[in-house]
Amino acid sequence: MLKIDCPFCGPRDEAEFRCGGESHIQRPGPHDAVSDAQWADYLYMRQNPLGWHFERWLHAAGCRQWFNLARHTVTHEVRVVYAMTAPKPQVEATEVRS
Amino acid sequence: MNQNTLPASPGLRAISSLGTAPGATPQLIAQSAGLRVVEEPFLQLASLRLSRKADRAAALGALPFDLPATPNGWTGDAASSLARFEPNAWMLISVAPRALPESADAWVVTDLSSRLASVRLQGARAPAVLAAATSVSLPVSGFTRTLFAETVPVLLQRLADDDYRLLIDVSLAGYLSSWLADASRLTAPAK
Amino acid sequence: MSQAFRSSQGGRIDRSRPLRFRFDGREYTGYVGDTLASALLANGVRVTGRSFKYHRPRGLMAAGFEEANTLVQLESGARTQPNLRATQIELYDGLEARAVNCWPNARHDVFGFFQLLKPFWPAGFYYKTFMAPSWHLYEPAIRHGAGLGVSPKLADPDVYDKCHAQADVIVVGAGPSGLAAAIAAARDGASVVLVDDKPALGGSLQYEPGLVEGLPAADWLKAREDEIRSLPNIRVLGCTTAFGYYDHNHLLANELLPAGGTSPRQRLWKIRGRQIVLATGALERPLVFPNNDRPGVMLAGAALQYLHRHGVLPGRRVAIATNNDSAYAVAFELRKAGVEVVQIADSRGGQPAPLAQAQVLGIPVTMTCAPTDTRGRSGLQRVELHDVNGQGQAQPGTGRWLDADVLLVSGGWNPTVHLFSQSGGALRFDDQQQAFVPHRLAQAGHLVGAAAGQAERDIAVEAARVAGRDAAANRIVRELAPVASTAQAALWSVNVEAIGRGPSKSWVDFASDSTESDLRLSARENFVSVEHFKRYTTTGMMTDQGKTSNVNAIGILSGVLGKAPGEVGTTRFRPPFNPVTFGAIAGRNVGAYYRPLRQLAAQEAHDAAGAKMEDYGAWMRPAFYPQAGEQESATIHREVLAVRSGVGILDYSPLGKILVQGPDAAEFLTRVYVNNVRTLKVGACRYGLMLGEDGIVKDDGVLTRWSENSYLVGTTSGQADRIVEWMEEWLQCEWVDLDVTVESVTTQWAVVMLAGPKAREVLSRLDSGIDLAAAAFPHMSAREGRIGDVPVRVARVSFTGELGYEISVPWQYGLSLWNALLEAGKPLGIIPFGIESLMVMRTEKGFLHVGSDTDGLTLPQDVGFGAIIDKKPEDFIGRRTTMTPDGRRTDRRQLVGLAPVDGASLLPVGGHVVDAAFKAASGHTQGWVTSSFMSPTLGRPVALALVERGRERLGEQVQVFDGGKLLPAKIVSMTAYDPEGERLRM
Repeated sequence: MLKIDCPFCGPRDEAEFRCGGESHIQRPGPHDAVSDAQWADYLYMRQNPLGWHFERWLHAAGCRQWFNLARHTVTHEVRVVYAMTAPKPQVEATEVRS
Repeated sequence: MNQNTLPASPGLRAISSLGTAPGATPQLIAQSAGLRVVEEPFLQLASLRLSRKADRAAALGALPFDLPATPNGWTGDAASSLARFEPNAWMLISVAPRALPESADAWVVTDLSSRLASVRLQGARAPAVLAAATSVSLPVSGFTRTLFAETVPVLLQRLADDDYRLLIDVSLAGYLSSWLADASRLTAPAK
Repeated sequence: MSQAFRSSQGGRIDRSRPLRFRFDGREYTGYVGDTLASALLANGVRVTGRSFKYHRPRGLMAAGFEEANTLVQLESGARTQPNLRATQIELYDGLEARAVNCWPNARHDVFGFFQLLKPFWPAGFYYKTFMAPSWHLYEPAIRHGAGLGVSPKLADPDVYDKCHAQADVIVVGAGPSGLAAAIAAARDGASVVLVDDKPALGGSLQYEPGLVEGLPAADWLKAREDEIRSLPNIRVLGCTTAFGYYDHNHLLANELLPAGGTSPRQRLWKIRGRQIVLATGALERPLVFPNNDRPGVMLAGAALQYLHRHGVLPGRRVAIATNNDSAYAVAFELRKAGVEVVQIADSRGGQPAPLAQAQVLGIPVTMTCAPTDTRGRSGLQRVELHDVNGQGQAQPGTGRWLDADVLLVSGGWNPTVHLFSQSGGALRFDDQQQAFVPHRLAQAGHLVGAAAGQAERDIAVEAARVAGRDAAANRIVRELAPVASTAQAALWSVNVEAIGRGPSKSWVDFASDSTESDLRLSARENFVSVEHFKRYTTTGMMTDQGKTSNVNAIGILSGVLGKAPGEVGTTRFRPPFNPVTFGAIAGRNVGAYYRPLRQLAAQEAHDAAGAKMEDYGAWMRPAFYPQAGEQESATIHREVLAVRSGVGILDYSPLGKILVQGPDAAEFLTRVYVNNVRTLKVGACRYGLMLGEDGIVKDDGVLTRWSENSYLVGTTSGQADRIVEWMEEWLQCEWVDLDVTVESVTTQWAVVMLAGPKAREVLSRLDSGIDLAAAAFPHMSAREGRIGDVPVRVARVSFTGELGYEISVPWQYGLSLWNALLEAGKPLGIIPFGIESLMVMRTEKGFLHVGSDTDGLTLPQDVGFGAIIDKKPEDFIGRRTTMTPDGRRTDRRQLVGLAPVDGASLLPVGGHVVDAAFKAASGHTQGWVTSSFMSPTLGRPVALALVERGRERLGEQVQVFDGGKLLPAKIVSMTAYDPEGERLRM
């Protein structure tokens, strides 16, 4: 049960949230100029790192806002929480803190 | 569509989700040592949503009242309060009918009086009953949406140390009422 | 002779309050303060169970969590619980328990002969047997015989509750170190939660002799209890076992409460701590040697607990075998209690510190000595000892037998690191301590006392105070410094090779019946990873999770593989640390609270009309309204004909309603819907489809435009919240520049569907102020009005295919509206109708039902929306997927109607559509039946189906295959009833 720091509400239990998967995925367009390969990539191809994952979260049972965070896929440390519209931040590849 | 009063009509009659007519005694859901759970029927409730594109300062100034700035906080009192429960959404809660602005420009005002049922949870045992259902820890001026009993979202308003208001979708009022009635009969944790 | 092994005095029991209990059918007496285990021991019950695989007689070998032998079935009927450890059951009056895995009881088990089969049943034998002719031949017998205990067959009458808590510091374990840490943290102002599995505080202080900071243990404990009572910021949770340590310092702990009254039976605590201090103590290791599992062989520390906690003597003639100093203290306490200690066999050489005291007390001690066998029917009678060398090898010619009824063993101590490891913490093998100790922390917290490897009590307590203060100040500790300790000698097992014996009866895991020979076998079979050794031999896989076996197994493997124990490593630790009942996890979310069901505003009226209520997507809705004695099919028949010839009402409130408002509302809806939205006028309605990005039909419904910038999106029942969330996701994550506001109003408005040729007449009697004439209020439009002072919105749309209105009033008027319509329609023979009849009518009309007529592969062109897409220039969600090669296939399944050739057979839903020439049960399916009902209106069955190239094949004859039967059918138009739609436009 992660504890997630919602940018609006502060720390809440994971049960109030829903994970929206990998972030920073741009919807390709216009629809008549996108190749099948590009569209398949957008629909189905996702990163699967051992390390920092930049993902979207929704505070579904709270303020209902979407935001981003960087989570380590092994330790589940949440290093950065940032706005949905903000760019992907730099996260050090250093030793994971507790 | 905004209603400023709860209409009475010879044709159609209102009844709360727990079966109470306007003006009648609200349903007492549970009463025991240190705990009182009672329906608050026919509150006036409205959401005020600020458009994403609005000039915030101008928009906030355009309203005839002061909206609280604190995230998940409320101002006012038990009889009439304004709460901020999303970055761009506020809720008006009033026992007596209150004038609402019309939707215009930056603001979308939606009457939710019919959509939400309200339950008041009071007494020294109230925090323990809530601790069984929610993990959120609210200060006295707090108002937030949270998950109740791992199943349904509720809006929770802390009016005082031992006085809470819960707002829940009207179709789930029966569920919440039963749950709280059963909880009131269970021994609370010691200390 | 009752309680023959109860000491004459001592123990933290109340001898003035006797309790009666039954075990394996016999009656015994104990006292308040006993566990079932201590009471059994006091009564001289030696054989308390039978082992898992071989049904060997077993007795109590421990006093707590780590008991591996004595599992019982507690009580019977609705409250029975299988596989509880007798050491963890607080005795109460009238308790009834039976040993599991034996028949008729532990002492006389008919399956005892399984011991003789041991040579044929080594570890992993089942991977090499039970294969010919097929595993399924053996499976029923094996499944019947396998397992321990019996599941309850009746509903549990007890209530289980949950509670959330937050604290600055959580301390797990109220032994001396835990108490010191908790008090120190609280004195520094932190909010503290102190968790302990026992009813009283103190942990080892309740039984270990000696002084603590100069005071007798009992006095020191009392002073701490007084301190805790004086500190309001410490919350004590007794009888509470912390069993799971999860992400971000989330701890789960289960509290056991006494039965009866208004108390829940158990309470699950979900606690988040800013810091978690683990004071979980240490567990003793048994010694591994042949026949080390005989009843009467017990951990030395356990005997001390039984003596001082419960006033129970382990036996009359006690022998002790050890490789460390701690067992000597047990010997001294037993001696003081008047028990004869006939021998201490110490496997070490030299002169350990307690040797002098043993000589003073006249207890014989033999160094370089270890047990090599035991004898005794129904319990220990004799122990064989041999001299051993520094590698634990028994020396030939040194064997001798000793009479003893109890053998207390100690192979050393393992810090209890389960919760620490669950938290992500890393262990290291400490060569001084010969144990796995906590090393690197992954989360904010600390370890104190024996759990950190600190055996010296005074040092541990002082260090715990420092840790408590660190925790209160939220200082982060990443690595634990090694704890200074005297060098311990490991004795992973007594090697009996030199005296001509094998390790096939040297038990490593008592609970799973695995032996040293099993471990050696798995090494010979070339297993390498400790995880595989565990699973192949099942060592550590029982409900005790190997608390007394894992480390011995690793030690043995380190010898066999020639690797250091740290290199062999530990297997993964997973919660729960101690078994937890499902009731505690479910909590109060059972029965009516399992899944919240939503209720309609007009529920009272539905009940009064005798509605058969069903759960439709978390809403309780009327399925149909049977009249006296009516069967379901007759009711539906009656309802459909009544609506089509007259008028009926249906509670349509659950249908989703979403307000979409703002200057960019039309632009947003254009991107969300397959349909063209821009041409929708104010006051008009349009039926639309929404897709996911994968092109699959996600939802359908009627879109209504109420004003220039205000739209009402209709969704299928119960889906509004999901669709609102979907819309918000697009507006917040992708299209952040659109000026649109979305609000769910499903339960703001109660809705009644009024349908039938007489619908207009009925509605006109409600005097809403709306002009209902066909020209003023055409099909697929919407109007507002008032009934008295109550606002009402009416949409003229139809799912039945008859003239129909969907009438919305604010939810609290829903019941009143329903009754008013019934009243107004009475002279016209109005009836209420339910969902089942609605489904028949919409199928007669060929109206799509998302989820029945569509599935996870259905694209909009399959259900007839191809032309609409072609005419729409703009992009919308899912559009690109409709254009992929798969989307462009010409042989896609398309929604069409199907009619049985005989005009009478009901085509089965799910029946596969095959060629007219199809004969055998293999071949190509061309699709399947998606909806099928007997039509009361047409007097014949109607059906819809997804069929390959269906729209090109109208009139073609096919067959429907179902369970071996073939039904001839014809592909027909979807609209079986009123194909021109005249009834809709009345």
